[in-house]
Amino acid sequence: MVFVLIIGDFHIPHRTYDVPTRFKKLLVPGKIEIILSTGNLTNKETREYLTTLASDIHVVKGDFDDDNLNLPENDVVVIDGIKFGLVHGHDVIPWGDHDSLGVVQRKLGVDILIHGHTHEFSAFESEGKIFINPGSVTGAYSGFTEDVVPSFVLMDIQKEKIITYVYKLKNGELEVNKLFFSRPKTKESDENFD
Amino acid sequence: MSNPLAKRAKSVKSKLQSILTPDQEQAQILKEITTKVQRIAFFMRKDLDEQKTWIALDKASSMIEELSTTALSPKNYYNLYMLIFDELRYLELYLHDEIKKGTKAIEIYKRVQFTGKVLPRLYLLVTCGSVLIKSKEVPVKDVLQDLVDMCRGIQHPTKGLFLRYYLIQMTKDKLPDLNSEYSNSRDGSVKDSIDFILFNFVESNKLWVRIQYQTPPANLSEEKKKQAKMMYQKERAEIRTLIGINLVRLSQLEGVDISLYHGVVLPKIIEQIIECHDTLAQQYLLEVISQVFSDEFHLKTLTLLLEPIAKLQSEVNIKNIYNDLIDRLIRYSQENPKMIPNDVDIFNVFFNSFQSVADTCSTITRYELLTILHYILKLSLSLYLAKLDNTEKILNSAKELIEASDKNDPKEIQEFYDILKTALEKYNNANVILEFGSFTSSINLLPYEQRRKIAHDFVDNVVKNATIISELDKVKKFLETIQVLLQDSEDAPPYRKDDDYEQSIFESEQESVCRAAHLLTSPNNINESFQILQLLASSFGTGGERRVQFTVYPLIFIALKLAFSIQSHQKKKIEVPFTAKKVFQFVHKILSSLKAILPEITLRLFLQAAQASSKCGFEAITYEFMTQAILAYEEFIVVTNQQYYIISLIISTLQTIRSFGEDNFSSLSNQCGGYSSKLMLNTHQSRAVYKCGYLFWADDVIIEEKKKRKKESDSSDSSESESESESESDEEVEKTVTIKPYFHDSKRLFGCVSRAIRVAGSSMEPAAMFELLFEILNVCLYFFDKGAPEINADYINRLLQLIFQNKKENDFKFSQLVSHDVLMFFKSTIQHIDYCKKSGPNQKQYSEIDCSQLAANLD
Repeated sequence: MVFVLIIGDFHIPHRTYDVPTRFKKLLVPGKIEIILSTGNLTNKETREYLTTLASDIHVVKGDFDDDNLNLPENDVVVIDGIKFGLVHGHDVIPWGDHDSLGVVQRKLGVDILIHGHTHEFSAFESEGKIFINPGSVTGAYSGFTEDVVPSFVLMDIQKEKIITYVYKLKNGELEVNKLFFSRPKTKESDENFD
Repeated sequence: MSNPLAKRAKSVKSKLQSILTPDQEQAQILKEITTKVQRIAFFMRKDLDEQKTWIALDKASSMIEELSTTALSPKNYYNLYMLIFDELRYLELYLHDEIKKGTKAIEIYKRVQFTGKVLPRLYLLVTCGSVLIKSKEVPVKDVLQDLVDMCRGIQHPTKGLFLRYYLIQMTKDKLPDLNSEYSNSRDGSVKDSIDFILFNFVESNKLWVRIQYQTPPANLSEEKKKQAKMMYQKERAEIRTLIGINLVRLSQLEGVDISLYHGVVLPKIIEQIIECHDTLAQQYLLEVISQVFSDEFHLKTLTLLLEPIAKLQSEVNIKNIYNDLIDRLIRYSQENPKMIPNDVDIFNVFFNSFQSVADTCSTITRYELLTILHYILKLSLSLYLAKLDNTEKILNSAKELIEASDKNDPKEIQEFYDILKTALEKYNNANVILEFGSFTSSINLLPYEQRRKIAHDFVDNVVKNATIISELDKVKKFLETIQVLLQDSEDAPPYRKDDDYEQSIFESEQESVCRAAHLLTSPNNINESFQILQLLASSFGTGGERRVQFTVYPLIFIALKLAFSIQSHQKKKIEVPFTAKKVFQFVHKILSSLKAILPEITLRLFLQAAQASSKCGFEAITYEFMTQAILAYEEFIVVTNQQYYIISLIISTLQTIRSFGEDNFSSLSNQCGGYSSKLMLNTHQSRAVYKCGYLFWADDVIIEEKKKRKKESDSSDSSESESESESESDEEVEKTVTIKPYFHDSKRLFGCVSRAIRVAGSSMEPAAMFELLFEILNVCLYFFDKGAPEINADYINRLLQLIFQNKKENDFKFSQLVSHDVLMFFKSTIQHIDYCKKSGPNQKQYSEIDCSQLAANLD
């Protein structure tokens, strides 16, 4: 059992002042093992905030992240045998497009692709691969939609399945949804082609 | 001991072994006397054991006589006293037994009055007096009166003081008091005890004060005399509990209620405190009062208690007295919130007392006055948080003090800063802080460093509490208060960019300001929000480039948010004071004014503005924003990598905008295409060009159109249901979902993809070439899926053939040409094609794609 926090598009201080208090109360040190962040933090303080939550942190560069943060454009992280790909998503054209995300998934050769940029939670499966967009944890302004719902995702990776908890703040009310994915069959797909 | 005399004496001692230091001398004297006392005591106890009362009393007398010595320091005298005290205790117990056996106490009492020497006589009288009280042969109050009067016989300060100490110790538990066996009409009441102790206290204190006035031996030099005087003062301080014990006794009397305390006890103590004109005594006694009597008493006698403070000796540390008392009262009020009296305004009592201290004490420093104000503020904030007037008074007084100073004393400045910080932290609400007339002007009195610190604290407080400041006037005041963060100050040290520490503080300040900016808004009041925004813009506008590069972001994003909010109001048919156009004009004005100094930032923000204005349906404005972005690209973006990065952003943004008419769209898409083909590196060029292809085949438009059609048919089924959120009422938005032919231009798409392939295939490293070709293969599959006529199975087969051909020409295995990751990319692409052949909506079309040749040569 591994807990992975998937979180991003903070946009502090450009677009908002802080992570919502309700979320801050949930996000406490000691529970999360790994953080995968889709970027757009955009300041150092937010990065420091993440380091208080877990020690194993992976952040990719969003289109508004400062070069001084030295973030990679994309990242591949193997967690409990599952390959996670991490991109912010501004380089995916059209932005947020499922088929184009499929190209990125194939290019990175990952089982689960984590992406952001649109500030809208989404989760779907395609050709046995999983695609997760945690949305914007601060509900930061986005040109895509007028009402951004603050959200993040917590993944519980178990032996047989992956339980995905989606946390949203709708009009200030906390809403938690559970999604179940079966573990991507990683070994098999490799064998087919080697 | 830190006695300078002793120290010097010690160093001398190593050379001249025979000379004793004063300490050693004292020790020797004490040792001699002790030996003598112990010897006499031994025989006294022997006599007592043998029932020889009178002989024993004689022995006791000669033992006590040793207390007549003047050779010992008060501290050593205390040691001697304790030794004799124990022996007298033994004597007292013996006498009690004798009384029980039938001896009259009054007889012994009378007998010892004949003791020849005065000091032994008085000690013996006190000892026997104690026995006499217990025997109840005479009224207690008479005995007490007698004893306390007779003690006047010793006027030597140290000896007299110890005798009185002995008296108070021996009469413990024998004083008439509420619920005590010694309280009745004959023996007296608690009032007699109060009189007795107060009398003893006053006399003791006089003696104690006099210790310092002893004249040092005449043969000493002037300097030595001075040192000796200091010694006396120090030694005096060491035995202060001999005075304090009197007040402790008073506080232990059950019968001392608030009315006796207020009417008799406290006035007498205060009188003595003022009259003794002694710094040490005043300081010490006020401390003792505050410690030994209950807080309830203090609360009810505050005026009286604070009254002497203005009349104290100039060296008394007045601020400590306030500190002790206020600390106690704050703690008490926290533990017993209901016990705070309503009939007295505690703040006023303290504040009046402060004012009289400030007016009358000429020697008190500004720093001390500020400290006292700070204590009073703390008290007021813990008792009367809601009474803003109190805080205002404190701030004004503190301000006056600072205004009168030259602002050069770091202690004063620090204290003033602390006062402001305490107010800030206790109210913990910027809207309340901004109510004060004097907070803002106070901050502006501070020197630069403290000013920016408190301003930063203030901004952080707003962010931490998510305090929304929604009134224009308050925002104005807020900006005034934190002005030091928004502009260069005249008193600031010259700015140095290479100072990393300064730079990190500066960044942290600007980020805090940016965060707080999001909270300066009037929810649901578009007009006021816009006014606030304009105010922010004019304030941030004066910050200079190094600040604007931070603050322009919140400014623009707050504006775009406001534009969206106006739009959503209109959709909900809520009246708006003006359209979003006004906000976009504001955005345009700001970005245009900054584009020369912050080209890349404004370019990105122009793109954000374009996306937003297109969503609100303003084509002309959107076109202008896009044009500005492209102009900025042309003029300012010169670094190769940056060029690719930015042109990609421009293309991706344009790709989302479907509100353009044909002319505007062609103009912008042509410029994107043009700049893409001019990129220096082939990899950049090829990628940017295929990205342009997405401009001409708008799959999102098709999906949106489908959604809309579905919705229309849904709503026609049930005419009642109002689908408010998604229905596009705005006429201009409506146009965007109608497929315009130039958004489905397969020929231009074909042109882009073909050009991308051509660029990829020319003059490049095989590894990079194959990676690009694999990427473009995926792009082709995307458009194939979306039904672009020119990107058909035949086209894809030709691309696959090209890849195979290139591999053959290089005559290598893939694994030698490209990295493992890139090969895996290709493999999974083939796997993806396979998948689509077997399942998915386009099986039939996919069957025409033939990748068998490559699939067989994947190594």
